[in-house]
Amino acid sequence: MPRPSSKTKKVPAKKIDSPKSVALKKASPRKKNDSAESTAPQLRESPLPVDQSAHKFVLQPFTPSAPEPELPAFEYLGELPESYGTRRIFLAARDPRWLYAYWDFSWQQLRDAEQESPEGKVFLQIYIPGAERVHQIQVFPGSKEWYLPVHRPATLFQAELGYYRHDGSFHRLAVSDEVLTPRDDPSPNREVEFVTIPFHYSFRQLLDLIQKQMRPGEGLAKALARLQREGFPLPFPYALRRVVPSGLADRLLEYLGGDLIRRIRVGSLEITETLRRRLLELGSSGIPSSLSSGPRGQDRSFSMHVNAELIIYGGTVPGAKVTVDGREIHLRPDGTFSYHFTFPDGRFHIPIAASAPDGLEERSVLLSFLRLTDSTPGVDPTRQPPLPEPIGRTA
Amino acid sequence: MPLGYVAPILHAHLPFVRHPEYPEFLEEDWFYEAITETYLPLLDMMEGLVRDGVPFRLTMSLTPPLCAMMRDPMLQDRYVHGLEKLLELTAKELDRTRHDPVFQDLARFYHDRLHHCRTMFCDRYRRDLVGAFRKFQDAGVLEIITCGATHGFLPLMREFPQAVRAQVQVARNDYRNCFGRDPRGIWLPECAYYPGLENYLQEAEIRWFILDAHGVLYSEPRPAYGVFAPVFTQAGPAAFGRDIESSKQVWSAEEGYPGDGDYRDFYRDCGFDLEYDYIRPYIQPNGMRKFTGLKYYRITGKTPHKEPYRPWVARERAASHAGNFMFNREKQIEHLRREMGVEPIVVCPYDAELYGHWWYEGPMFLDYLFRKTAYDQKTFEMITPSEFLARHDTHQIATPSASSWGNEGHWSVWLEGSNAWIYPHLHMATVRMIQLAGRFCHTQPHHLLDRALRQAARELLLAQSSDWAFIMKTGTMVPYAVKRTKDHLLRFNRLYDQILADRVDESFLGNCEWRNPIFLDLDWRVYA
Repeated sequence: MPRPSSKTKKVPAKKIDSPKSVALKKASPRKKNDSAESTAPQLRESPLPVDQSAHKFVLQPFTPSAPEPELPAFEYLGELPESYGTRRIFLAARDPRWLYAYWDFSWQQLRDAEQESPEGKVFLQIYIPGAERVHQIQVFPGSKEWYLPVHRPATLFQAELGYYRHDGSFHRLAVSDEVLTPRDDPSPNREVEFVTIPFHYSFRQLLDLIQKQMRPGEGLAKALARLQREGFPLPFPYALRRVVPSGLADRLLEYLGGDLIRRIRVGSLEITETLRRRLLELGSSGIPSSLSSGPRGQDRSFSMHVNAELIIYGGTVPGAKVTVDGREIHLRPDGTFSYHFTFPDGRFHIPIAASAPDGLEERSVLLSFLRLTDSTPGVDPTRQPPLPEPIGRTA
Repeated sequence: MPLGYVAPILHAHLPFVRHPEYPEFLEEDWFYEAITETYLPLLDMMEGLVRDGVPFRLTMSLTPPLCAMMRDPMLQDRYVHGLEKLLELTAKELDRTRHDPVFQDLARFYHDRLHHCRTMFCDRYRRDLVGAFRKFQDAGVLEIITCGATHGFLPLMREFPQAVRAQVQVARNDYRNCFGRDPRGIWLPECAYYPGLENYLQEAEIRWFILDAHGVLYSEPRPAYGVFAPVFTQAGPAAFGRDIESSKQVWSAEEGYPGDGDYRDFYRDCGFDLEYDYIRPYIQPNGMRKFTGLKYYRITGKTPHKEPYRPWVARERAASHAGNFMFNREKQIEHLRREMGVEPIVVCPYDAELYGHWWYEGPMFLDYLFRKTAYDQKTFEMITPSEFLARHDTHQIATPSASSWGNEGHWSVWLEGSNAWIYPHLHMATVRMIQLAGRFCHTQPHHLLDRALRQAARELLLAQSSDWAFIMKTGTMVPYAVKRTKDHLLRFNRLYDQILADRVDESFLGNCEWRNPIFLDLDWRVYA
């Protein structure tokens, strides 16, 4: 199904009210909490104007008398800007090994910065706060993002964009938040601290209970654990100490497969992703989306697709033997048969023969087909089901 | 007393796809297929278990977009209409296959199933699937948990606390509307966690969440019980880790149960197999073929050759796989109990749509698993994480590691070459929404302005759905995901400009509301 026509293809309006006025009439303000059914404004009373380019090229008859109203102005949403020029830089730790940075500078802003800089160069720098710089990359007007290998799990990083002054100091145009790459292995810290958090107490109630005892920056669980260790009176029973069998964490890791964790982690969502991927692969030859079956790319609102399949069908008496191009095929109980396959370009001669159940009589036929495709650019083959390959091809 | 526990958890989610501007829309089929193949079969399974008095426990997330679609009258109408058309097709199939007993039986199988779906959807549940699931939660056998409001990928909005808070609070409020109580657990979108996220969960009184195995195993400090006990985060909410072994048994494409040759093949579908003119009324309006859900073949093997599906053999296979799964959990729990000295919990989270939609026999497998677990063994009990925390309230404190359940375990599915372009725009819209909320939260905006602010928040939330980045990464249906992202952002930007200029175009606003009626009572002040 195609998406609404783009700006470049306005359909001339015919008769009826302009859709905008229809929309204005229908799009009445919704009262708060009204159900969607009772208040959903109906934009149009006339048939939808957006499908017609596609309908011209499908087998179903298309009624050209349908009105073709102009789309309301608010259907044209335009394009997102290239940048907003907020001069912000964003840094994310994508995984234990890679950082990702983007910066929101317009072309002109980066150009200006280049001109301000004595060297005429603007840099993206990644560093470990309070320690060394790990990346310095020259960025150019028009650039927006960078993927940065760091290969340092559990490390804090920060990004800055700017240029060097004459005195060697760095003039910062933007600086990111600090980000921490995730761990890539079990923590060496084996400290075990237990806490009892009764499920029937809300967090709010627990916070109210211990608010006065909490230290600045201390989380609820941490504070409760400390108070429970100190024997602070609480209105629920709590476990003071629990003994964990020695070496348990290591044995469990080993049980889980040690190194295997990494391998299996890579397989998270394995089946969903595999299935989806298979579907998507099929999609590239078989399953379109509502939009991909219509225009592709941003400016196209017109497309065409054509293909052919061949169905040979017929009938004889039940129990007879039928061959198509020398291959015996299965007859239905009533003696009918059909054979359905793809029909690409080429010349095909397909002999079909039937012999009576007693083998005494024969009938045969030769079917010949030629398919030649000659199209203008921009015509794609219509996606086909997984049909058998054609038979009887001679050229 | 059991030696340990197993917590099966199903994550039911679809992005909000609803297109009133088209009479039919292919991507809406995701929802209709999931109703027929997953949600109704799961409800049917629970009906049977309750009817037969089988003790069982299941945890499911029903995400806010999914609940909104389930409650949407237009989508309900379209589902029923699609069901009627499929019934018409199965009636034709009964006629077409009258001389072929194998396919005749399969046509009847689908005809009966679809009739049953219609009876369940229209008569038994009166189109209210949210209410149907709620009934099982109220009966104490199902725990429904929430998710991010629109399945937003929270780690990539961490710089904007208001945005993370909005995803959590809006979801919590939506859950209250749907289920008449507060959620106790949350399925973090894509199981994506970063240290500190638990503070927003504490604020919303959410007691637990689920992480992939490495999220818990790489906690700081190292968790003494691995993934077989939750850890309490410093703010209080508990993190449960996914069990690797049980996941692999079901999820692995190579070794997992769903790949068995007797199970139904997903890809061979009448929509692609039948002659074009015959199937034409049941495929896309533009003439492109599509899945109909009538699939007549079994997986058979790894070659393209497929044999006809035999439902009774597949059922036996599902029972045998359930027995195998149970046996493996018994052995696993016996071992873990010996090692740990306390009752382990084995957490088994899956995409709900795996059961029924992808793995057609999945609901049958679950049904057998619940029945066998109840009657054929005493080693473990099924449990929900909330019940586990109520029974076992003492756990280690640890801070889980930043992680997700996506490929490679972190953010690389949602932040890579195909989709990274969305973040500058999403972040800018977030900054602007926070600005708007800050500016108007202490005023009494007039009705139209209030509506515009609410719709702006809706558009932002819908643009944040992690599904769009996921689709861009996977490479097909990309134009749809790109268009959805852009459209929501462009609508947001236009509303933002109109709000600031105090010139809200009511027709534009009405159009936005008409397209995306989700979170009807959304409070945009959550961004303040």
